[in-house]
Amino acid sequence: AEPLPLTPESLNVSIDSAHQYLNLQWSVHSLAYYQELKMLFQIQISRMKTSNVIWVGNYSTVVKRDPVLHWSWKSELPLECATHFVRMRSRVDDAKIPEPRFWSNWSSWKEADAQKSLGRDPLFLFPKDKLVEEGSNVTICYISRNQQDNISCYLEGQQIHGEQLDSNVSAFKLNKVSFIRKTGTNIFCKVDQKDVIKGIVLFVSKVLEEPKDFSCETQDFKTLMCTWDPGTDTSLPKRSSQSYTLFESFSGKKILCEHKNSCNWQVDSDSQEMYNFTLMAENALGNRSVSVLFSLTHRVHPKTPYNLFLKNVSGTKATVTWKVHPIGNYSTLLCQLDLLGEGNVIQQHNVSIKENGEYLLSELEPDTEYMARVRCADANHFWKWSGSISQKFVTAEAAPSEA
Amino acid sequence: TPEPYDQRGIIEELKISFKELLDNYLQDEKGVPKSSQYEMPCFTADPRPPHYLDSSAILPYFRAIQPILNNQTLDVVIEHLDKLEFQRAPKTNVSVPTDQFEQKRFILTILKQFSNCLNSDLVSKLFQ
Repeated sequence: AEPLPLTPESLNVSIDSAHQYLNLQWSVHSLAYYQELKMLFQIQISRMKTSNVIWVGNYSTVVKRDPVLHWSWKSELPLECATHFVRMRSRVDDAKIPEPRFWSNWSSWKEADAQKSLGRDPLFLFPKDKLVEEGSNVTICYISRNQQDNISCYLEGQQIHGEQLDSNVSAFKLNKVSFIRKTGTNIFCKVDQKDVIKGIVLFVSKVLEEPKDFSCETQDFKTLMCTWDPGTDTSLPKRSSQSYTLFESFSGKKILCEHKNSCNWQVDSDSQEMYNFTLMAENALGNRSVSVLFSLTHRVHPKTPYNLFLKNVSGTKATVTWKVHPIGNYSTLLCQLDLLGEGNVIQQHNVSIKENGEYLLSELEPDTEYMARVRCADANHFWKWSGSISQKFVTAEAAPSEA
Repeated sequence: TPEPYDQRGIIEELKISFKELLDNYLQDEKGVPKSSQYEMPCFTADPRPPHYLDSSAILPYFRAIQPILNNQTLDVVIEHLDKLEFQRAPKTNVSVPTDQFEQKRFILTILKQFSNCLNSDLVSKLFQ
């Protein structure tokens, strides 16, 4: 029968210091009888020495014939601060193989020592120029070459105290770091009695917020104007910029928005009726998105009417005319005409039109100043009123009564 | 090079804008220690009589930190220093540390050293 379990082989550990990841790569040989098997890998990670196991976890995956497998572990401690050791064992976890299923032998420990690549400076401080989100926990550490040196460390000028990991290594846990300034939080350590100082800048960015009040509308069925409230600006100069992309799922099209709070989308000539927009806010640390589904004809926000004129103004009547910008071929606009006297609306009329508006105002008082005011909205599906246009006028004096 | 009474006016305006620059930087960047590794020269005397002030040794340092600080007050300070530059002095290149924290120490050290320059004998002689 098949000599199970299968010990993981050729385990290789590489260090990604910038992101504080240990990247593992290994293989499992001789799956003679099976195209693929579901397997469970148990991984142990030690720090400083192999007996000091700080993390154990399982990784489950389907193993195909003679694969190379990958997995990564993120360290909360900068990897330069301590040597890490990794080993793993495996167990078949597949219904094709009857119980009991035994763990394989452990692979040998693999060492990951980032200190080997450090220079000969007397003092090191890590992580260098790390970018984190406000509210996260960050561990910093120093490494001193000379164990007799007395080291003190300061955050924004205030002394901080850490935990000794080794005779020449100390770690400082900063919990729920807060944003201080766009040029970062200043941290340094110094060798007392010597002019040796090493510092880092911790770039703390505000939390990226989900865009609020995301809405789109059209004035002409040619362009959709989307707007939103971006919330707090999380960008940090030269570190992290904040960008917005607009994705429309029915057409599959995506555009990068030029502004942080608005974006124009060109409506294709075939005039797709339904739109499902997803607006994604993104910075160097993550993204947040919000969606909206709507029908184009339900989002008409007409332009402000124009050329509002008064004609045939007599003592008691006046004809108001105005123009509107045409919206698509079939759109009818409902215009609201207000007559104001001494600042109060004394008449209000609704007029449905396509391009030119006209209305006869009557029951006016002679020799009186009025204001005519017009705004319009889509007649079929109200979304928003347009801007208003107004025009003052004075009615003629009353004709002298017959003697 | 401007006449002495012009130089006095320039120095007085320079002192005002520089004080604002330094105060803002100290306020903005807490917890950054100076560094003894960085040394910036001061004003020198113009080689031609009557030996007015020459800022040509200082300007390269301010121009080097200009893109980093991206600050309007610094632009004004540099404008004043330009007026005090002896045109035919050799242009020197100043390299700024790439390490972010060292960059801040460099800027702070330059600004503090220039503060001393403004109180130097060479400058005060201008007002005697």
